[in-house]
Amino acid sequence: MQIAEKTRREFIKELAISAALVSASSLIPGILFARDQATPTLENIDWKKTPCRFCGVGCGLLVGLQAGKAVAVKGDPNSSVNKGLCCVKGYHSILALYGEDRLTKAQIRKNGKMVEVPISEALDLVALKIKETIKEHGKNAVSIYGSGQWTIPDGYCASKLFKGAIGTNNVEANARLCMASAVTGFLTTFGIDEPMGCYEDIEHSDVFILWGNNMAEMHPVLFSRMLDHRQKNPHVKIIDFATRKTRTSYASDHSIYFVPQTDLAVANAICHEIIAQNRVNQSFVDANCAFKQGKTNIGYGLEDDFKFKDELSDIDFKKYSEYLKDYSAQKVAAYSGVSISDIKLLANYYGDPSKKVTSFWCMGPNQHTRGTWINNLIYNIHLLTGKIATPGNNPFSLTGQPSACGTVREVGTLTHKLPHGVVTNQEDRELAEKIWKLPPGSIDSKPTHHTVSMFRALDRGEIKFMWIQVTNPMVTMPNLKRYRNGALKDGRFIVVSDVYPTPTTEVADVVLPSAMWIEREGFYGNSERRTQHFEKLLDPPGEAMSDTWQLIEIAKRLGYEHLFPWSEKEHIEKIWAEYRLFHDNPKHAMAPYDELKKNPGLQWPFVNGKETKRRFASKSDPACDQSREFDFYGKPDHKAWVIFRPYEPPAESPDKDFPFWLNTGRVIEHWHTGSMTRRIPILHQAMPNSYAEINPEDALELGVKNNDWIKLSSRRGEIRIRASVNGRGIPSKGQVFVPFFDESLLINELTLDAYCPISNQPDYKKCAIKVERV
Amino acid sequence: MIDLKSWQPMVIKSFLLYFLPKNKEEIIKSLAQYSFCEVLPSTNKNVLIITLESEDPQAEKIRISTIENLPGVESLMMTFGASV
Repeated sequence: MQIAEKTRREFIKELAISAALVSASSLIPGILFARDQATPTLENIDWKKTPCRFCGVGCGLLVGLQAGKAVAVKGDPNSSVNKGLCCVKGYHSILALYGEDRLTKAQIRKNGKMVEVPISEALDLVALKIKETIKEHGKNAVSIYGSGQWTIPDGYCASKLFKGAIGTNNVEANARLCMASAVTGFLTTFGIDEPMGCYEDIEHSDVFILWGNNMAEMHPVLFSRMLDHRQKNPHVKIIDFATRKTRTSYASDHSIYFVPQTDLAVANAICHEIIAQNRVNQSFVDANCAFKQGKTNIGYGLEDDFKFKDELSDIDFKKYSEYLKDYSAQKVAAYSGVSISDIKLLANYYGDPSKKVTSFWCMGPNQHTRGTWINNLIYNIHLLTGKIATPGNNPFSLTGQPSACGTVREVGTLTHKLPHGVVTNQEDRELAEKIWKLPPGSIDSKPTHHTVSMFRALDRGEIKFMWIQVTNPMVTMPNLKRYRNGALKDGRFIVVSDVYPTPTTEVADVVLPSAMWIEREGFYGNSERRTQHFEKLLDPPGEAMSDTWQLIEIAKRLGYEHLFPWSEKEHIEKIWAEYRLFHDNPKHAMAPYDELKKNPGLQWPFVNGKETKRRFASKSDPACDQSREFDFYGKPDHKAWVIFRPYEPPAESPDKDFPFWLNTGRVIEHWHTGSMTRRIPILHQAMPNSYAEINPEDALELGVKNNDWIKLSSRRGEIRIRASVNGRGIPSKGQVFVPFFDESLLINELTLDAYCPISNQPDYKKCAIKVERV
Repeated sequence: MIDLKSWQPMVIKSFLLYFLPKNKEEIIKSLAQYSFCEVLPSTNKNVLIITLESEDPQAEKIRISTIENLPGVESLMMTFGASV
């Protein structure tokens, strides 16, 4: 009795602290607590390290285990990422393991109803359907769609099975929806993917420019590091460059609001000012930069048969400067909503040689019909001023998912990619065929479908079979109705591997219960090139199985056991050893398994037992030509490319019928579509439903008060949702913001499936809607 | 054995306490002396999380008042409450 009472008391105290943590995180941008100070003294706890699975920052956690359950969480003080701190999602992350409706058994659709079956029966059916589909419709009628939450072994096995064994490039991941523009930005400017800097640059910077990046809610631990740095160094400035007032704006020194899409013009205006004020770092530019231009009027990908290939051609600095004359501060101020003085302020921060500048961005520039361009343009600013690859000078593209970098970008789970290089390159294909022990010519040289194209092909019936793992596209696809209806059409067979029921499992023919995160061994790779290993700490419930092992089981049933000859006990270690062979060079060498097991994470390139903090600077990067100060070795000319990209309008802008902009995004309490965090009571209670932020002036004109029901409609769909006026965020006049985490309010039924023609990443930040009071 | 006639459920509440930076150490020290509350300071803001246990409303009122009257306390905001 006494024990029960004490346990209940401690439980309620934990709830009380959790509630306070959530409230504090919601109210105060960047607030952090060293939680272990408050954790009740729990005896016989075994603490194990793991990365957090709820964003791309890659915080190190220590999970407390007791009697076969995860019972406590604290930040890992040995992790250089978060130094013992955690955000509200991290602290509550283990509760996502224990939701009441956790999927523990496989299900098969029989006579229109899902029935539970042994997982072996479900796996047999999946393998049979793959075989039948390939036999009747060809190998390109089957596909797999994963995510940046795939562990590295998951993605590796998916790529090996589908690209290598089956021979189709129908492999995509939801990271296409969140950071494909970052990849093409890196590839076009530097010829090699992923940030050159590291989080440690935060403690060296004088100025932070946040490009459409609500870090206070999306990357709270990094944001808190920035605030902490500013608190200790009052000269440090944080500039919020955004389309709406957010928690980040409140904590920034200055907010600059721009009209959607005109970030392109403002970035060019900054470069124009830097040149006009004679603040180009000429010696850096002469030694390290080449000037290019690409195609213009490149379209928006709205047509099913849309095709585009960019071509870059040489220009010189003079020609580049001439192009920028269309982007004087005066001209750009006229349509961007940004004042001349604010353009000059930004140019002064970037151009001042005495200031170290870090730019951060994430979904704002990436989910953009000119996403590759705006990534290029931010790099242009850093290249013209030489503020790159040195402590505190860092153009840093952040990611949103725990292994968008590690799995999707490094393993290459996109249609055109391989673990090293691309399918179109013969040498890269030959390397993969050699490592995978495949006959020459096994890998198709043609990319097939990027994500939007893949779901369009499913709708048209060219793809008949799709296996979806660790993601929820029936909430996240833009222009959602088309793709949900497509998945439900006759003749389509959908397999979904997940941990909870979602709108995506609702369209499935087979549901496979997945082991979650620390219920299996794996690796993630975070935004700063840090690979993080985690052990299997818990047994998964029921028949739940890791996505890696599901893929191996299917491979065996398809007759590819010889390609996946590993035992369940050692398969992760063996996969890692094989995967490392793809990156056996100083530009991308990965740390050995044993080293990763010992450390909270290690940054690649890992050469001679050492991490590489900053790439392209010879002092810190062993891959550089040591005779140069900087070596942008991703390009054949060893230079970074300053690419002129113009302003072009978005695919859809407000008009008289649909007079508002719609912007979508996330909230601090929920991870992506909320399929896990909405099962965490404290997070769900803190943010139970989505809402529509509208500008107070617009609300007054519409006669809408806070919490009133309103109808939002676009040319594609409509929803009824409660208005938020003067709430957490305040959009600029004429704009509406809606978070996408709520599966009962599918905002993506309104969004447009326009995408960047270079990255093929959709734009979730701009389409036209109508707002009506109901 | 619990005497059910005299037994009162313990109420646990949590609060965010805002304080003046100069009084931080003093406030934490004072709160540490009280057996009825536990403190979790923010590592980067002038805010504390407090959990407060009280056996009846009168005791709770007195304890809240005691905390609010500590030098440097700016405000106390309740975030949770439940009976054990």
